[in-house]
Amino acid sequence: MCRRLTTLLAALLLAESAYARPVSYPGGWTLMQRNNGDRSAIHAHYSPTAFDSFGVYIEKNWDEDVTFTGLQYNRLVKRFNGPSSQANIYAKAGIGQADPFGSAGAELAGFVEFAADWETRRWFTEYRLRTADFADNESVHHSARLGVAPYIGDYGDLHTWFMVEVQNHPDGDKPITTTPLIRLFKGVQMIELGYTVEENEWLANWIVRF
Amino acid sequence: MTIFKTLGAVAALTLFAQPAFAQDADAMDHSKMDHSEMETMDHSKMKTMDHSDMNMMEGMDHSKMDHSGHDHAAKTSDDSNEIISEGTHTVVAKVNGLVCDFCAQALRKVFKKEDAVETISVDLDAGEVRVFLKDGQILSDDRLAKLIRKSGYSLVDITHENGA
Repeated sequence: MCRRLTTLLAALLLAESAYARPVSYPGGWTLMQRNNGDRSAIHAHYSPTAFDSFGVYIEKNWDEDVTFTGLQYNRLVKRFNGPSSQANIYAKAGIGQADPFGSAGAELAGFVEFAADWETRRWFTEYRLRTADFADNESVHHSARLGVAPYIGDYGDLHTWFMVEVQNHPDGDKPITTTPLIRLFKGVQMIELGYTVEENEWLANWIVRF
Repeated sequence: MTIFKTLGAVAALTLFAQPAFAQDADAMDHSKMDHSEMETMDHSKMKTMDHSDMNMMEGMDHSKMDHSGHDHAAKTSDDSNEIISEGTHTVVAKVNGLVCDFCAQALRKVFKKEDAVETISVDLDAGEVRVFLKDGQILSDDRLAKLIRKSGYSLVDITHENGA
């Protein structure tokens, strides 16, 4: 019953930490979802400071038929503030249990992630490296993004970004995939819609901050 | 059952953590200070006073003091950037790292909790944060710098505008 609820929750809410900042303002809550066809995940976290956040992370890997449920900690290791730019280095870690369907039971699981980004109001770049051990499903995953804003909006406007994401799964059937996407961002909400060419799958991410 | 346990643990952690995080390590204990003579102080001869020492006066009711003899808008103390912003002043902070609406929201959330602050506006193009103080309230430059840092950004410069 609970396994079904977990799966249903992950499936309904879709997704993981959309590629955006995993740490909010002090006292802020954030709900992040991600779905890219292979994986669906949700991450809800609380930021006690502008440099830390912790919360719950649930991920369903559809290909491997594994569900991860655990706690995640995010740390803004370093921020470089420039006159018209900002760069960040993040470290993330999660620990919990992976529950492969068809197996005898849940097993201890976890992941670590490193992320770095640089952005101006016009340009955005990001790199992420993630390694995970979800029961017998061990994986390494690289991804990079390049984005450009077609116009510079004022505070409170609808902000639009055109981005391209390239992912590398060294052990995957298709080691490299490309996903053009659009990011729409207004107020405390952000959505991303994209299409992964090699997989013929849609990407849908969403973030809201409180 | 695992998911409920996990959610329960996070909820408990959060509830216990919030009060601790809400505490301001810089908050002063005014209960141990003697403020009894402050309301009747005559500042008229204090034109040359070093305002850098007035940081301790945050939170006092400055509006009841006689300030006729000196100009609070004036910047003082060459060896310190400790400037007191008071009254209907607006403080303009030049800030690095402002690249998106999330940055502006972070600053708004942090400054909103500050008693002396009426409201703020953020100019992403200029990289400026304009802090509007409540009547009779003060905000030291050090405190302002701390709030900027707490929000995750870097303070470059502070200027004061006297709106009264």
